[in-house]
Amino acid sequence: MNLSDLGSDTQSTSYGGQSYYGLPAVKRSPWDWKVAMYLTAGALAGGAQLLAGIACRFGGARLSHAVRNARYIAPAGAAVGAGLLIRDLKTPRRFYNMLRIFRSTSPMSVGSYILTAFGGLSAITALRERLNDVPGAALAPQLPASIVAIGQCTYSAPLLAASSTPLWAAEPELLAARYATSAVALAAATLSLLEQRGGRRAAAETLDVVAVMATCANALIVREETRRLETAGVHAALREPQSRSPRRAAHALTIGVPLACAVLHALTRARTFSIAGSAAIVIGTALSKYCDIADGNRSADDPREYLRFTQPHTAAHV
Amino acid sequence: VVELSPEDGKAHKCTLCYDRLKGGLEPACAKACPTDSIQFGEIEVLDRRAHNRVQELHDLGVANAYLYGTPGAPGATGGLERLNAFFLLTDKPEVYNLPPAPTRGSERAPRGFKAGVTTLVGLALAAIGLFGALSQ
Repeated sequence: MNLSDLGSDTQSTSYGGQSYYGLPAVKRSPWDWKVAMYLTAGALAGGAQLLAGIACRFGGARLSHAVRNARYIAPAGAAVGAGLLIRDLKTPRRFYNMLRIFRSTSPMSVGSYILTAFGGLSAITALRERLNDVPGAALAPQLPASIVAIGQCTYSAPLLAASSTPLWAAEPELLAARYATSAVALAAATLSLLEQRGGRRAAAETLDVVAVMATCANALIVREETRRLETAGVHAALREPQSRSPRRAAHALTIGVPLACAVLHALTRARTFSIAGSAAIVIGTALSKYCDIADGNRSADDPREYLRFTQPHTAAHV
Repeated sequence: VVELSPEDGKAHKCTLCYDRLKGGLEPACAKACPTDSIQFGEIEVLDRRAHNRVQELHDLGVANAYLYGTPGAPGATGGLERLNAFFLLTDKPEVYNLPPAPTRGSERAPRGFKAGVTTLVGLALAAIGLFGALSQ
């Protein structure tokens, strides 16, 4: 076989950088900001319902208002998210066809059912919460709702990873772990903001600790993910100028600013730092999801990214 | 090959000219191909024909010729036993924009799902521990 190198490439020893006249090797996804916003709303809803389940059982009276808020956020996020997904369909009128069949090998089919189940159970818990006089009491539908919330927080990352978009498919485990930590951080930060607004500082501080734990885990995962993408040579899209600044901003908002705010809050006990840290997580998570979609699409446009991703040495550990 | 049509907004997929097949004709692309590079038929028959052609080319001195996507060949990797459309190539797969070692995308989903659920359970346990410690 003629193995002449048609281009130079420092990322991979076995791939010489050839492609078919630089044309894309795979199709980019048709997804835009609507799907990015869905990912944010879905993660917030799932994370909130998960935290509601934990807090109503182990959080005590201090977190009862946070539990109530979380139970309202969950169905609201699911409804907004489902609305965005339906808007994203080519024929929104026929959205119900997404539930016409169930296919266990299709993350989109599994996800449609998880979102439907999550939305339904969240609506029930919110309704029960509304009828209760005591906020955040233990509810029978809370356990199933929180269990489905784990699926709600998780399914979108494997859905992206099952595509042929190099940036999403290269590290399925780390992508999913990152989405899981960001869902918890986002929900804890949102609930903390609402507690601060209600003047319940102790509850807000507890939720801030949850957000910080999730943010630390998130930081470690982001680091490892970036390192592995660089090793596999599937990060050209991340280095493009139009992607670099938003991504840096997203990292600063989701990791740097909240951790700095947590330290400052611990030192000064000033409410401002709790609010600033939580707000940074909320804005940063939305921006980070937008970057994931935009950069993924760019990585699909670049045939070299896909061809590097499908090299035998990469495939061995993929 | 799935393509999103800008006209009706629906995803369309090659049907191998189902209507022509019903009439006993081969797909239009195979019929129209000026060099007969696109061949249509039973996969076993095509397999045999392709192997013979590779042998023929090797005998003629075209040592680069090889099959892509047949069982055990490049393209049939990562749990893919074979591709139902395979190719006879004379250069590296990348030169044709073909993935040298493709994998099945749906197999990545369970791996991601497990990792995501594990992470969430870990964070949930950490939160339970935190709430427990604070309520002491």
